[in-house]
Amino acid sequence: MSTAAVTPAASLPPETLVITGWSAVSPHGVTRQAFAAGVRGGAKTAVKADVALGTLPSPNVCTVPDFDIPGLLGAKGTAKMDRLTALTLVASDGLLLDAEGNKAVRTDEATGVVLGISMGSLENMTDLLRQSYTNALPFHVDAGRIPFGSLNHAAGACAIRHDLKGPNTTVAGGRVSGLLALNYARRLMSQGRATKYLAGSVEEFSAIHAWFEYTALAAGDPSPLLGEGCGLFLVEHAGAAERPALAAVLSIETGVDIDDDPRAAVTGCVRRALNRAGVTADEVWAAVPCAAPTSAGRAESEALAALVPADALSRVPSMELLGDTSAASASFQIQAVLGVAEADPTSSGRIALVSAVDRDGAVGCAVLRLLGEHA
Amino acid sequence: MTTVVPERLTRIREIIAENIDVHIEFADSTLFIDELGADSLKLIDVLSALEMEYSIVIDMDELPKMVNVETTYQVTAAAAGW
Repeated sequence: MSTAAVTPAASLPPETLVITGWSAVSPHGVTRQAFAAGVRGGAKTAVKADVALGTLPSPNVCTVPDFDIPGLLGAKGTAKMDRLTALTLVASDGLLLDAEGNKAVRTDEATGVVLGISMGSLENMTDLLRQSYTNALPFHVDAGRIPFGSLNHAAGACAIRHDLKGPNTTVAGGRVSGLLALNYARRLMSQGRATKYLAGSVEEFSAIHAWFEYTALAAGDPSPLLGEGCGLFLVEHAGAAERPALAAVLSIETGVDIDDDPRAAVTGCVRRALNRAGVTADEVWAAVPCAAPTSAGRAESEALAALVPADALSRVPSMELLGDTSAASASFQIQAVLGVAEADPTSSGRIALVSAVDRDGAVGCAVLRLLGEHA
Repeated sequence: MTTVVPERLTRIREIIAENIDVHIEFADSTLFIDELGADSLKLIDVLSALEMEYSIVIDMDELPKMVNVETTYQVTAAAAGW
């Protein structure tokens, strides 16, 4: 293999968005290290669902192991906390705090938060709805859980926990939402609205989520193996980065499949992203599709296979091993690339491509240049 | 003055502790706001949880009277007709 031209982070244009940190709370475990090791080892994460979840459309799930909310976040304020918020807060702790719980990343008045979701905490919202319909009176609901039912609660709770006073946003875009969040951070930082961002996406597993997915299945598709988790990034401008850059975000393109032809929509989106990044498909070292267990997901994989070198598609183990993590998936895809790259000295300077496609027609693609330094 | 039923008092104490997020022992006369750090939002959670538990309606005007376990029991008992 030829040696790629390595672009040191210092030589990037100062306005380039760079990823300088990441954390993952995933079916591999609650730490970034567990995620990276699990991805590199190609570990399966599916387990038999807890009987407490009741009857499920699929007997196996890819849930975050040992996710004890009071144990991880303390008893205060967590009694009624939804799983989505808890996943986000644990991921934000992993990103901003050191092992002793002290702040390890400097944040300021202009540090923003943008979080991608699909439908928020379905369990919380449907429980409140059920209480309203089935209890003696329609307002006999658990009022303490109402704040957790708002779609932007997790992003807000993350900002309050870490005193982040910059723009605070939640974007909902299904599997594309991780890319939408990164793009949102890029746009606001380029406008001077924020100096750095916590950007990422999150999905929770619940029985109601499993049944929602089941009812949305296309004829012939198997009941999906569902996953969950939260992937967060710390992003800064290359010229102002306070930590070593792990990757430069060269481009993010999104679109909508209006012709009911997901393969063409993904192909077009990937081509636009490569063009904007100024690289060719042949230069792609690693390409990671979201691998959604749907016809759109299969079309996405076919589109990438026709565009990028074959070895790029096998560089990172399939995201299927994490289950269908829906809104969290695009963040996990980028993190899977970073996890593989950090153990591969030949990755520095190479191009990585991540794509996403949702059943509602949203498509997205991000092109990154890997910058991790290796001893 | 309503006669206090011990089982109901125990359950009301549990509901209060859960909704004002207190993880220590406290007396029936301990003040929610001044001594346990509760705020008005937490007290509405308590009121709402009591309504749901006993399928009753507690008038919002009664909220200021719910300052500790003892008075909260009295307010609940009056609403429930105990």
